[in-house]
Amino acid sequence: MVGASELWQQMRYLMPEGLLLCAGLVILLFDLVVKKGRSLYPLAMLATAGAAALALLPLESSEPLFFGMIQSDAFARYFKVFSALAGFLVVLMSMDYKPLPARFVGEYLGILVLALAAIMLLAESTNLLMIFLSLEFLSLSSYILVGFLRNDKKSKEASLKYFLFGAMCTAVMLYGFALLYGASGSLDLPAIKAAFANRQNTPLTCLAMLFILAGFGFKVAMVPFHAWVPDAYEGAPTPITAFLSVGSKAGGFAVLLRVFFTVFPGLDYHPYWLAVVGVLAVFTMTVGNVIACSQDNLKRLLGYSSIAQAGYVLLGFVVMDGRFTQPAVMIYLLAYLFMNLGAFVVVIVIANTTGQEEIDDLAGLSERSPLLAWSMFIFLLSLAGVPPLGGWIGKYYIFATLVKGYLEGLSGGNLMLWFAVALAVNSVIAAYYYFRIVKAMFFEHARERMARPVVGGPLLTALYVSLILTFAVGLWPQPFLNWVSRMALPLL
Amino acid sequence: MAEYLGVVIFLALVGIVAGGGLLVSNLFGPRNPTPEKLIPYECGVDPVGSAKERHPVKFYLVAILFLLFDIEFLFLVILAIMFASPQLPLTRGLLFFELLAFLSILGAGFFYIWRKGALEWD
Repeated sequence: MVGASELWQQMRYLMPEGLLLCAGLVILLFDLVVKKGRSLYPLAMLATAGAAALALLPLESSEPLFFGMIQSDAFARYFKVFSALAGFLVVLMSMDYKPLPARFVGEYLGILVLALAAIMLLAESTNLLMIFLSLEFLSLSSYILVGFLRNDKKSKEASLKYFLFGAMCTAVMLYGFALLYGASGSLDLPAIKAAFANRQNTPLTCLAMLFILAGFGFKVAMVPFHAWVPDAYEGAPTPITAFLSVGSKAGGFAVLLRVFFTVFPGLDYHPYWLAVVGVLAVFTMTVGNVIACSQDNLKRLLGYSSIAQAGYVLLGFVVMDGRFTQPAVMIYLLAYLFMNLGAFVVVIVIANTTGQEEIDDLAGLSERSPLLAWSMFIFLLSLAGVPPLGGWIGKYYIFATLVKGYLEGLSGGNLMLWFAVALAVNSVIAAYYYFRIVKAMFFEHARERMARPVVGGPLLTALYVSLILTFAVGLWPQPFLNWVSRMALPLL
Repeated sequence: MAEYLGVVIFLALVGIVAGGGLLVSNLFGPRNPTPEKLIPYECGVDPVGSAKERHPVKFYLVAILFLLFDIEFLFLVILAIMFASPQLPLTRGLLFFELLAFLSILGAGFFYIWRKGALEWD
């Protein structure tokens, strides 16, 4: 029997998400009393910053908690820090986002804070049921947030498309869970692993793996489950677009890492896995990059770019060797967090100034606002993977993982080398559309009567934080790499 | 595959019985329709207008809110039954505390929808 003191012991590990859950409820209730929704921003900032601080405390437990539902290990703690940090920046970005109706700020912030808690729960769930619940928790909050601009037709359409697509993918994923349960007789990931120990791969487990990949692939925007991305990204309020592209993507990768690293090492899965994930990853990055080239809307372009980035990260999964894959994926996500959020900060400023988000609106930005133009330049360089910026470190590690897999003679090594080549070719395609934006900013002249963009305090803070950390991950990667390798899942 | 033969035979029988019944009654059954027999059955009340019309979205909201408290009741019943069980995973005091925590979160939600005016019909 679990007593109060033992439960209290276990609750300590859930402090960050506990704080966020309480803060979310408090914000929603305060919204009833407070007249001006804006006064709730400090509360949301305090909650996210507090959650980040609590997540940085070295409170880890490799023991399963709450009857095996949750494992609050170092890996989960990494994604807690990640999610709280992303949440803090997104709250900062929302403060000056003009289209957000002031009446609904309370609901917006409450749901956003709850969605952050959902990412944390997703990263630490070790039971299929709990994974499903936290994934749905995150999805449902995201659907509402995407449709938050109620008077905007695009926002409503985006929300509906996201919802229909999400419901479908979740159903397929649940079917995969059911098959996995049928094959192993348990919902607990460690028990499933034990049931699979030294067992031959069967068609049943292959099918389960594929179905589960559909559900998680939807969250990380993997081809062919990417169709919602451009519309949802374009229609959603821009801070929410930023949140989707970073927060829920990271949540998807976290659960992907945990499920596939816990469950499948016992199986003789490797050749199938290598081919399926590798080919999907190459498709993901190619589709994202090629379609991005013809986009004129900045949010759509960054949406396709985020599909391509998901493809790069997925290539890390091809090797399925804990020593390489996890640090590579985690450092990539860290760099991606800052460079992508930074790019969205610039998009918000442009939209506040001109009322739309087309590439043409960036014309002559270097004359109107050198700070914005140069920051955007840095973020785009980093997204394209140019040294010495954060994105380059991430891409380098993914590339190195593939090459190491080849050199160490893992099975399917030759294929890995080809995947590495595909990664390199795709980086070149990506450079084209990133530099299209740069060309508009530096080599085209502003249309007449284009206002000078004004950057307020919160957006400026978010911009500087993203800028500094994009540089920091690229120039001094060692502390980040050490941290990331310490936070990786224990090898089994 | 042999062990599934029974299922296949059962499925075939289901099809024959269900389809055959419809077919036979369609072929040999007496048919003298009156207007009363042809109207859709609405619990014995004459239907008012067509069913294919637009309904206010308020019905949907009330249905969703009802579902929420319906499920709350479901959880409470399970907890109440578990309370007497000798193989309780938690101590009783803790279980009661969990119950109160669950109810207070739901209560906060109820307070919220109430104050937001989701329960007002007009």
